[in-house]
Amino acid sequence: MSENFNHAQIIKDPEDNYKILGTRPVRHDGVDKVTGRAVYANDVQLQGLVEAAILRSPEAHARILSIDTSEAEAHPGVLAVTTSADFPDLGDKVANLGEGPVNLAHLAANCLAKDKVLYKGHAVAAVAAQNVHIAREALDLIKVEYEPLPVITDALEAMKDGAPLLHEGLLTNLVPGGGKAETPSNVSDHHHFKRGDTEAAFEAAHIVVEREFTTQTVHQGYIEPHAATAHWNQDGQLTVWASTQGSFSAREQTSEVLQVPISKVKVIPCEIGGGFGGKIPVYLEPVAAVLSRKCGRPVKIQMTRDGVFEGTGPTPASFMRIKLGVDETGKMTAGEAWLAYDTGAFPGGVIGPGVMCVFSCYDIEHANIDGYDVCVNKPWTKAYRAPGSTHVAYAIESVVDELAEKLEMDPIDLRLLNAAREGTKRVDGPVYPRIGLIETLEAAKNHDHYKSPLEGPNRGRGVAAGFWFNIGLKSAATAHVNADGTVTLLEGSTDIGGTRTSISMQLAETLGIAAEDINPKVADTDSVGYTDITGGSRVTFATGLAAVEVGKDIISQMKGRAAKLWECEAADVEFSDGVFSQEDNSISFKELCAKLNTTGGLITARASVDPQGFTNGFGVHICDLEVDVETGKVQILRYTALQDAGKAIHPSYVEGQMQGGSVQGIGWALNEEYLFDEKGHMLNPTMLDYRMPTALDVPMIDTVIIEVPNPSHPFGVRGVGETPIVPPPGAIANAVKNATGIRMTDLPMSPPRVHSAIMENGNGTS
Amino acid sequence: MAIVHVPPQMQELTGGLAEVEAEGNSLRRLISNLDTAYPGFKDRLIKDDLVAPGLAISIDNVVTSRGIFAEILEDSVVHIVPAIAGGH
Repeated sequence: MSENFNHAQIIKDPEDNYKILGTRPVRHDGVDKVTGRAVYANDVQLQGLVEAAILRSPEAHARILSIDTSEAEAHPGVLAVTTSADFPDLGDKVANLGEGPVNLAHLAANCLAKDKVLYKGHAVAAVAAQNVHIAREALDLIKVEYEPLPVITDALEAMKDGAPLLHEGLLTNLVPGGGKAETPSNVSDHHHFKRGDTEAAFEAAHIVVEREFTTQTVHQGYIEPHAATAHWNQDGQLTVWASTQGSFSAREQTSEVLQVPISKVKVIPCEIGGGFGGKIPVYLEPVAAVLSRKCGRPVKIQMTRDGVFEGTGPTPASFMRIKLGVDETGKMTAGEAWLAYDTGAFPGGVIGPGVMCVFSCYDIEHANIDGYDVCVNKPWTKAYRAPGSTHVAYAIESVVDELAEKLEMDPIDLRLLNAAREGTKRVDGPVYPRIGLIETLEAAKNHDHYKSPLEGPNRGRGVAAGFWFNIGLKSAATAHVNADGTVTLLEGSTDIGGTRTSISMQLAETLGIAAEDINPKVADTDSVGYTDITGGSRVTFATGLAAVEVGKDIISQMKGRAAKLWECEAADVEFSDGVFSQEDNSISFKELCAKLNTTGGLITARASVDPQGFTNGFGVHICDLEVDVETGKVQILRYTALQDAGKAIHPSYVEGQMQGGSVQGIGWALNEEYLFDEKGHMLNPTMLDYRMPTALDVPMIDTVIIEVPNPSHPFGVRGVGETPIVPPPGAIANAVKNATGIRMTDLPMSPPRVHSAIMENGNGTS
Repeated sequence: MAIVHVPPQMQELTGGLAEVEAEGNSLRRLISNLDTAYPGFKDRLIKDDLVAPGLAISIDNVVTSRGIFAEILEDSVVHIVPAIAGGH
């Protein structure tokens, strides 16, 4: 079957005439990566380096009555022991770090628990020793006295009156702009948006569908565990080597948690083996730093895999009630959403994006949305690729599919009828600029996959759409032009998905030279201008824009040099396609580089940007699958991801993001979940038991890139990386419905859950 | 004058109005003027001279990163929305 697939297709903008953009050069870091020479955080070796281990709580909710570290400190080979007592008192300060505000006391208390442990696996103490084995032995010698407290892991239970409180003084933020509630509860945030008269609109609707959905806690599943090395030098300078999505954010967080001047902290970003949002917060860096200060040696900590699962931030579990009404033609007239996401141990989760995304694909006149972030005794949830959007897309796309069925309409036609477009006003207010959902839906409808028949028993096809924002934030870049015509490019964005190359290509296009003539380096926080995190689908857009500005600066400076050669004014020098010219004179970029030393020296250029013109990304996915009705196992047969990607700078990386995001979404849909016992203990904190998709579980993912340019970027770049995880659970649920006749309203649709549903509904076969 | 869309959680300050007009060529001035007309606006939106944690301001359909110094035009349309964040 697969030989008939056109795995990668690009629907280009007809105006596109780029030389470099849209080609597929070999990635600049490819050789280091495939030969194992790339340096990851756990590869760092320094003179006198010692290793550390973390003691984690065996209780999911307990008061810490005492911690006795004396025996551990006396253990041979132990160099330092630390607890939260070594952190400064941070009060209730909130700092804007990376992708959003962070309560510093919570950030510090998540690195090392203070007064209470709030989830099983919560870090309590750390030991630095001559090697990690001694450090682990010493952990057993730390005596922690706990007073167990009632454990609550379900958001709906935690919202009830009388539920045990994780934070006794927590008052709900009424968002946006509503101040705070007056009575403490586990609800950290209540978001509310309303437009029109939903009650009357539902009353007048031709068909109304209302359903409830749940999703479970899911981890980002990056293959590289968190690791950090810190060296607190005698001169007070702290250097940190980290696996992080943002070296500047890691620097700010470490500086704030330890209350040391930011100028005293340097973060060196190592190569990163995946992050997906989970490597924005710090967990180890402040702990390694304190241990280093105590023992006067560089200290390295690498998390164990169970430490990663139990001690870092997954995406929340959720409960969602969605109600949608349409008129006789299928036009959506009313929508209502009630959403509760668990935020884990501390306030502040991803319900904000959830409420903004739930109806974002559609133009609905009357809508009402309530969303709640709820504290429970689970790890503090963090960003995971399009945080908050995948949950609601699963729910809304299931309801849209059910409406299409009741209307006897093609599901893509129903989406096309209601799709958001330029000028559509979102329920939370803003109006869309130029977006490409319509084009993406049309491409899906015209795709060979959608037009091909699907035959055989227990097989079904599903489609779903998805939305995610792009963000801008700040980026900087510096370039040195070399005499041989190459350019060394320093930038501050950790390269997770090939951004060295996608940024270099934008500079190469600007300069009219080959991508291979750019030599990109990801620099540390002392060596390049401030750059925000690698996240929010922003790096190719924003850091790419910085590279374009650098290119313009280089051209401007080099026009001056050409003018010197030709004894004319710089303003009279033209530049096009890598060639400088003035009347009958012309010289190529490379030729002029060879003359830089004799016309004033080599050139350095720099740029710092804070772009405002970021936009939105939409995806549509088509899935064919077969359900084994004997076991409940779902086998994906064919999968196509289509996305409005703006200009695909390096199509292979765009396709890779679309395929990788799809596979992660398939994992959410079919298998991945944290399993907890009644004590709040995670039962499956290993890659063996936490079932992520492997290459054997999925077919080749077909991709279609629809290049609807972003008018706010000189090359039309949109963010790409996050949208692809959003549609899969909805597309798969809709396909399961078509295969079995059963609407699956709880994720994951794992074999036991699907099998139970089949048994409850009779042996559903199609 | 700029148009400010008031989210439901703030409409208690505007007597239930979902949309109000205000003058000001920067977000700081706009909010200051709103606070004069509807006391409490500034406390809800500004903390320590920054847009309050968890909030973002969309000006003419673009979420600004310029904070209180963001430019407001005579015919700007302002929305108050949740910040896009992965935990705070």
